[in-house]
Amino acid sequence: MKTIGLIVNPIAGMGGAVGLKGTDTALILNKAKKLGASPGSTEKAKIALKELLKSKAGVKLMTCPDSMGASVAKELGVDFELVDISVNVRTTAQNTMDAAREMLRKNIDLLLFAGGDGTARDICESVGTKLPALGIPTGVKIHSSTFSINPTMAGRLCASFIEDKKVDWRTGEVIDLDEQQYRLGNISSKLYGYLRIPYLRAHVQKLKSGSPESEKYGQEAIAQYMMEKMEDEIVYFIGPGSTTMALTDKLGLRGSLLGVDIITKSKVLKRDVTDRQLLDFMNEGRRVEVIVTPIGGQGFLFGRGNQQFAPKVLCRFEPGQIHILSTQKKIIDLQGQPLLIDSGDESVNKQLTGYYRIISGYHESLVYKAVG
Amino acid sequence: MKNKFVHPYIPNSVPEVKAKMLEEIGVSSIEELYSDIPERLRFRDRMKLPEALPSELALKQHMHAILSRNKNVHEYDSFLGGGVANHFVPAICDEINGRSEFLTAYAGEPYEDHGRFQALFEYQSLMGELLDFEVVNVPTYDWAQAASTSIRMAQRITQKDEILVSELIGPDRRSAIENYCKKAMKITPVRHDRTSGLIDLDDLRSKLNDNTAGIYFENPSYVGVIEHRGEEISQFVHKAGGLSIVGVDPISLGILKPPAQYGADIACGDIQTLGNHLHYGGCLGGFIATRDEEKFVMEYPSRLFGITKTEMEGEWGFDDVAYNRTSFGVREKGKEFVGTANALYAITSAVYLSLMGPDGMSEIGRHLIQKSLYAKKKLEALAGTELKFSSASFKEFVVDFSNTGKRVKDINAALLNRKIFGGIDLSQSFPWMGNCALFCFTEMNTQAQIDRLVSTLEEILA
Amino acid sequence: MESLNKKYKRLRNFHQAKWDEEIIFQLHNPGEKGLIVNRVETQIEHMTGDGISEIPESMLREQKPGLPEIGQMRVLKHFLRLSQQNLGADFNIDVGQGTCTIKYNPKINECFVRDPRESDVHPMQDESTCQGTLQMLYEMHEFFKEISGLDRFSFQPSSGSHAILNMASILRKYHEDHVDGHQRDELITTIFSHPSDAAAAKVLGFKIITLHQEENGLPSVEALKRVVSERTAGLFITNPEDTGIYNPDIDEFTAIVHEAGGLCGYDQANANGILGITRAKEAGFDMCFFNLHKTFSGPHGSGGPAAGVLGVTKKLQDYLAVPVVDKREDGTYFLNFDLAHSIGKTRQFYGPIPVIVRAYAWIRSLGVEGLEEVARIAVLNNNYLLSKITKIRGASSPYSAGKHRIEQVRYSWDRLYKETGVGTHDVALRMADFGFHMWSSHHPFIVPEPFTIEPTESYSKEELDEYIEGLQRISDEAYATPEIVKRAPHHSVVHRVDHSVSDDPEKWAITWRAYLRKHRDRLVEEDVQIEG
Repeated sequence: MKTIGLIVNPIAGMGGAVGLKGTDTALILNKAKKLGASPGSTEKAKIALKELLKSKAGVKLMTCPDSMGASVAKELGVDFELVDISVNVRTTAQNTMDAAREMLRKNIDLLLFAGGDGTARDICESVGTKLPALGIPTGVKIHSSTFSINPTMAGRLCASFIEDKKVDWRTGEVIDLDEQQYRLGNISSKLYGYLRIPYLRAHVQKLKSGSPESEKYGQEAIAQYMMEKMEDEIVYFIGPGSTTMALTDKLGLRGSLLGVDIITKSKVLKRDVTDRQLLDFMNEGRRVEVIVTPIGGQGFLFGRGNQQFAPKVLCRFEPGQIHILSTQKKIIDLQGQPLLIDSGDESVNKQLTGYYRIISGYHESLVYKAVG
Repeated sequence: MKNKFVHPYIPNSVPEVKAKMLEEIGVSSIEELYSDIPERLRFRDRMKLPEALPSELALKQHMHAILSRNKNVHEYDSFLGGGVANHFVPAICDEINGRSEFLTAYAGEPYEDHGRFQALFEYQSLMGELLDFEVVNVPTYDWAQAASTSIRMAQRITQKDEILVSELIGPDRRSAIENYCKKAMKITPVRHDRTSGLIDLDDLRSKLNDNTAGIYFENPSYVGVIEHRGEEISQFVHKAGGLSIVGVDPISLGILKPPAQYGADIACGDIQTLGNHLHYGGCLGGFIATRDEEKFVMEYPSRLFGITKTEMEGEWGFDDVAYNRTSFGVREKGKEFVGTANALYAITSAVYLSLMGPDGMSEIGRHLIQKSLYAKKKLEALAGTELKFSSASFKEFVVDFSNTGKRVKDINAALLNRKIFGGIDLSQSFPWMGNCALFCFTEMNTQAQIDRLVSTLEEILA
Repeated sequence: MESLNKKYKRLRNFHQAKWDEEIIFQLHNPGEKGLIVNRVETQIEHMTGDGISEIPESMLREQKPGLPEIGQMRVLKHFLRLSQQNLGADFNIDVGQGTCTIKYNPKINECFVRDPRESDVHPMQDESTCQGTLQMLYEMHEFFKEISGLDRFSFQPSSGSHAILNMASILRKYHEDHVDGHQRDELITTIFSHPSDAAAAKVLGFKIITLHQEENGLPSVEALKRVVSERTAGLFITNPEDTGIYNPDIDEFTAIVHEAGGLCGYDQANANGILGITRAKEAGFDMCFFNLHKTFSGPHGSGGPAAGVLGVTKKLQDYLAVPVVDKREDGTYFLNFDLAHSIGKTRQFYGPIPVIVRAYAWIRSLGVEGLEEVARIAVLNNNYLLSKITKIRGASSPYSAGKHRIEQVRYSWDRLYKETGVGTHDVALRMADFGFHMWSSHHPFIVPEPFTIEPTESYSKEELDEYIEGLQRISDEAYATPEIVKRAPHHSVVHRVDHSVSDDPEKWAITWRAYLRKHRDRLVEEDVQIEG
């Protein structure tokens, strides 16, 4: 029998309804409460858990005290084991992190967490990809690709997992916006890392083109093809993400997972640079091209998680100088929605709008639209 | 619309039905449904096809008139082989592959189509016993494709790009392998000894190198020779880091050692000889078999059906094995594909092997050896003929007519006049052999037929 | 259940045969015989002894193969029972396997391929003794010139995917023979074209560029323009695509690729609705192929045999795989191996003959009017289903809303899934309870929770209504009692399969001997139970 962990961030989602864009600080939380926000996170977690419990496969539940999970479980009348952590009345990020660490130690099979990007970030920071996890989207900001599309789906996916259905794994990016900047109308987001996320393998009845590839092999194949396309004398600004990281790995370089690096085929010139450093480098007059991967569940090419590519940087590139790497699955999951460019400058967005050849495998590319 | 002819295959041509359906759709004519096809792309001519034969009897008469222009291996005594051969097809093979349930099914789930999943799993399993391997694919198009894929599998498994190919493999297969592999791999021929017909081990050794993905040879070879040093050949290739791939006629395996038992890593071949008819060479099925090791299984492009359980205690279930077959390697130049191939013939071969059992396969193997040995002795004794190769053979062997002063082509023409299909003329496909023919003898050839072949040849060569 | 049955009066109270049939090896009984091999004549026995003394000892099999020993009737019964546990198109209303064109396979055609004058002809016979088969091949060649407008046809391809491999081989050879050709290694296709268009071409070393669909479900001319270059080898495309949507810009596509120096190959897997309506030639293609086992009525044989007849324009006629069939002035037919630029052989001998013979008879039975009627009725049936199915709660037909489709539609159960948790796979399994198939689609799923329906011309309106009622009922069930659907099938041969072993090298079993090695304990346990 499998053990599922449940962590509820009870205050997630409170800011959104009242236009506060997140509840990352106590001050904002109070403000949200004053503005009349009511906890929706708990309700949504309940929907997911209820869906999970519909499964006839038995499951062990492990959760946190009180509003961080136990109250939901009690309401549904399900047995559970508590993790041994102390929880503040007003729950904090620290509580989430403690709970996740404890669940990792107890070897649970999958962690279900209810929250938003901030919660995903806490989970990421505490257990990273060591513990399989899946988000129930209850927060205001859901840019990370670590969440199911709604609580019901999270519950169902979890049910499939305990039923030993064919579940595959992918890495989901954890992205968070700087809430303060966000409230001021500026976008400032960062890629914080990855979680290991299950997804339901579509049923295979008739294979036609060999077999589907796992994400890892997909990324390796993409890296191999990009490597063949790279030229010795060109310098590349390579964006964050595990897909681009697979390329630096393949090149034998030590790239940064979360930052932008300046590289050539044979060496890293600068790691984890700022937009300012990119600009300075461009003034050196070398031939430069960009390699990026769309980040997050919403298909942002620029503007989420890679804001080092500021408008001042991007305005100096033609679409032909931008190489996009992505697994086919990630593109298909966009359901036809174009890739998004939100550089912060309308004219740059326009300039980069058009069709791109996205490298999606070894000797394979997809032609797809990106719009600003 | 009223008096339009309704063909038996198209029920909804009935005007009243058409009208009802158009009404449901909300259009007034079928033509409207084609409105997305621009006029410039419309074909407004009339295809020039012969007049329709909608009457089943008329069609049958027409088809019989055409078919009567063929002569078959019952009307003539046939000594033709070369990849397919006239073997006995048990009645139950035809009964089963004619069943509507198997014949007209395609790709249903392992529930409503449980039967085909089980039959194909059994095919894999029965072939596994014959081949002494634990993994067998659902067959591909033919032996040529099976050999081509085996070679590309070896490339992916070893991450090496050169394949050594015996020069005595079937010429059609050689051509197909060339087309399938040449861009991704270097194809190097391996010589056979001109007298024994066996692989020239010195030549083989001299061609092995760090980039050798493996060797592909056939045993018995295309010209019937039994290669008895398979063990050594496999060892040489293994030492160089390559794989041993052997193409084999499965009907030989009740008596001859399966490739797995002399070091082969991959076996392949064609299942036509196991219960399938000739169909002018149009009824083939290529098998591939290996050990049950992850690194091999992962490189199959084929369907592989596995046995499992269901939710219900005591039920067998079937499933596709190794869903995430990730055939990506640094040096691999593209994964392969899988599509509709030859399941019906695989089911037929499963029936054949089930009927034959261990004794049947052993006896047929022995029978074929005896028959061809008898013919060999008789033909060898003819004035002017010689056996091309000195080594032991299975059901086929090469007769050299060089000293008879007559071309194989002419000899065969003369045989044809006496209702005999003589051996395959090798002068085009293997020019170095000279004036030779490849004869094949099966359980369908009686002693009387063989004796008549010999006496007729005697007359022709006289 | 009873009230439901009244509501759905077209649906059958179906249950599939369930024999609980053993695996063939479990029928083994030492000493039983399924067949006796005839002995060689006494004189031969005298002359050759046991025969095996001639065979080098290192090549003699030491132990007989571990095949089961089973009496003849038991073997027959076993496979007949398995056949009853299989649902062929002759039994069900097989419209649920879109893209595969499951249509009526006329029984009379079986008589022709089982006639010994067809089945027992050896490929190396003198051509004078095969004139009947050669005549059919030659006439077929002439028919396909009319059907496509192209100039020369090869029967080497053994399936649709294999025809694509042949097209890619021609493409490669053609460019190799031309000055600027060596750099042309990029092949363009579209996401709703058959997956083999990409996969088979890739085997030959092409780099694949896939055009994604726009909001209307079709690839755009703009996107194509963006990617053609001096590296473009060609375009392989299906039209109508697997969505059933016809690409009206197809001639612009071919023109753009030609302009860039590439060649265009038409995957006509979806030709059933356009026979005599629109052709490869007018759309500007250099190559095209048809699946004889689909459009031209070959039975699918539980997964083959198949055939993909491949045609080319004059420019490419010497590139085809050999042989092609020609006719001499004296009216005799012959196999022509003499093509200057041929890619060689891609299959042994001359093609999947039984599939070709059936298709030949089918075309002869229908004639021109018949073929055109096939297309028109296939399209009528399809749009009838479209109208009905999109009224079913939870089902939709993504892209180009309100437009007609050609011969099939890729539908979606996305809404059903989101609202009830019942997905396309669940629906497919539940359909089995009423004696139907329903297939989702090729991977990867572009349309979420897809199902692809292609009614062809073969099924009557009443049958289509019966099938629709099946979908309707399952949709109703999904909203009312989803567990019924999610635990389906209930009336099929077996229950939901345990997939847990299939990806585990320690546990998967591709043959019985592998099963015995890995799971013997399990088996022994059960035997004890059965006996006890």
